[in-house]
Amino acid sequence: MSQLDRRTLLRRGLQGAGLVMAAPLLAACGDSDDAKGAGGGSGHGSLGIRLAWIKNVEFAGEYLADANGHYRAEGFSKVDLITGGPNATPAETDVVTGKAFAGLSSPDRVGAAVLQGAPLKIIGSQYQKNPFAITSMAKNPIKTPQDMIGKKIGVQATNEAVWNAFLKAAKIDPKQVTKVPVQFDPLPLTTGTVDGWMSYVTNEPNVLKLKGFDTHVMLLADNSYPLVGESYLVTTEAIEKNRDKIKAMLRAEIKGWKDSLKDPAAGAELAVDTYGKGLGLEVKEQTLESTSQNALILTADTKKNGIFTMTPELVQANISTLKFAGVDISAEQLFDLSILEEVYKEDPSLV
Amino acid sequence: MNPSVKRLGSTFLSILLSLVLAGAGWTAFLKALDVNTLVAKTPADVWAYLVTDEKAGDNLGNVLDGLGVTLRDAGLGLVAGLAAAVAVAMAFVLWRTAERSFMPIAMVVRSVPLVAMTPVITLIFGRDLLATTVISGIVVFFPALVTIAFGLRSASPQAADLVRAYGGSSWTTMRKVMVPSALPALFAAARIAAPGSLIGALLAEWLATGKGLGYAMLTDGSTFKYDDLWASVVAVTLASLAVYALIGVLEALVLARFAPRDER
Repeated sequence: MSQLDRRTLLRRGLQGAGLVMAAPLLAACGDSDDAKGAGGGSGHGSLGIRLAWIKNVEFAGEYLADANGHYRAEGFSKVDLITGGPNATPAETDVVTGKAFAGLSSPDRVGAAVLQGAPLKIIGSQYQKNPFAITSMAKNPIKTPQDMIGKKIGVQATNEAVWNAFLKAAKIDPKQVTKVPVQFDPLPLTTGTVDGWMSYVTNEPNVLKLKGFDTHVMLLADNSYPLVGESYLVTTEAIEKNRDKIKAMLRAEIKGWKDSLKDPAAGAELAVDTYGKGLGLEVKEQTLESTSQNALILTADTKKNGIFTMTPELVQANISTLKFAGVDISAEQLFDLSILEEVYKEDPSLV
Repeated sequence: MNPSVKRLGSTFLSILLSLVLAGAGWTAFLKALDVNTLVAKTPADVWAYLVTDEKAGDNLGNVLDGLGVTLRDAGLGLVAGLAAAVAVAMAFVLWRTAERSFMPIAMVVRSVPLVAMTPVITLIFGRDLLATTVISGIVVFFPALVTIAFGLRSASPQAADLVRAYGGSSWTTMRKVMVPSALPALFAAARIAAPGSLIGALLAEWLATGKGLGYAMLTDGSTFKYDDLWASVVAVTLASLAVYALIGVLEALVLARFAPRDER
């Protein structure tokens, strides 16, 4: 009797163990199918987009495209907005390994990845001006890159590539500045643990302003580091084989972001109540952030050519900045803007 | 054969075996899962990066510099954590109430994830050596405490009675009977703690100091230097094996003197 029990127990146990071991494998199969867009008959299947940061209003256009059904209208059955953050795997890695179809990042990071052998290209950019900034307290301001010498700057690990490139472009010896690893809450800046904080101009300064702190913001773009930001990146394989899927994604993104340009508060509410729920975001601050990011998206050029486009001059300016920063890469290696051009040519009403 | 030589020999044999197993497992794992080559590097890639590449000298130097910092952080944490564990374990055995009142606190320290606790630790202890020592010490402390307290209690009651019968205090019992018989447990605790202290040091470097291999590995990930990342993992693994072996040697020497009846 007892032997029988033991045998059943053993068999059950083995079945259980088999299930446990099979589960991640099954899940992994599902993932890679999704990433390659092989999902069912509903057009392009599901779409994975790796965001550049935590789910705050920075991705208002994506939230609106999802909530207003633009992705669905373009034939996507489902959209996975995959969160980033101060310690997340880089978006570049997630796109190369197929965890996401497309990612949002900046040219310096994508450039660094391409030089390490990642088969990636930028197909458009949301921000015409790179939003990276060093935020400091108004009573101890950092106004020029030289002001950072001898001070402590909080840098998130995910921004390490940007930080290194900026120091090189600004001709500052990394040994003269103390880099402190930080997360996304700028509290250590207010307590004086650090003197400067690597930020998005749209983000931390607004958070601190609403908490009653006076800050000084030094834009990297104004200090020998003009680059675009929030660039869409996909693999070169996708450009060759999934051009239609990329176009569909870009059309949905354009519509979503135009919704956000029209109404900055709509994306802020979605970020606070739905997508970024649990992050402790506030509508007031997120609306401020949404408004300041719209100014980075809408310029004279993008009003004329359509959002996300980059003029040849802008592309060249980016390449020469990257060269200064030690990322020696050609425009052809880093950018492929032809898909976006085709999208606007096929449907001029999107402009 | 001399028993301590025998112990040494078997320790080194086990290290060799684990190295071969790790290398084979690593290669097989990458092959089986077909991981993207940008991210996944094989033992051969790491060898090239550290030994045969043009810049191999610089690469090796960088990794070793980082490892030096990490080993210092981990070493201090290991010593501090073990010392604290020994002191508290003694207090537990000498005073029953100490255990009842202190154990819950030790449990809390261990059950709250260190990642969550680190910001508080950096607020209290700063972002320098003290913080890494505290964080790595916490990893070491709890398992060592349990093992050492068990070791102290497992002392022969007859021997303890003898000391007491001759008028020895409980402190004398502790010194003459309990501590010597807890030595195997102490070394077992140190062996468990050594890799733990390295993990603690890496974590502290990642979240607090921004120095050493812990932070280098993190930045490697975000700057796509996956060669360096894997090389660092290898360095940390080898270092932790080396520390483990070193404790084994120390254990062999000490136990040969204090607990020869364990040899058989």
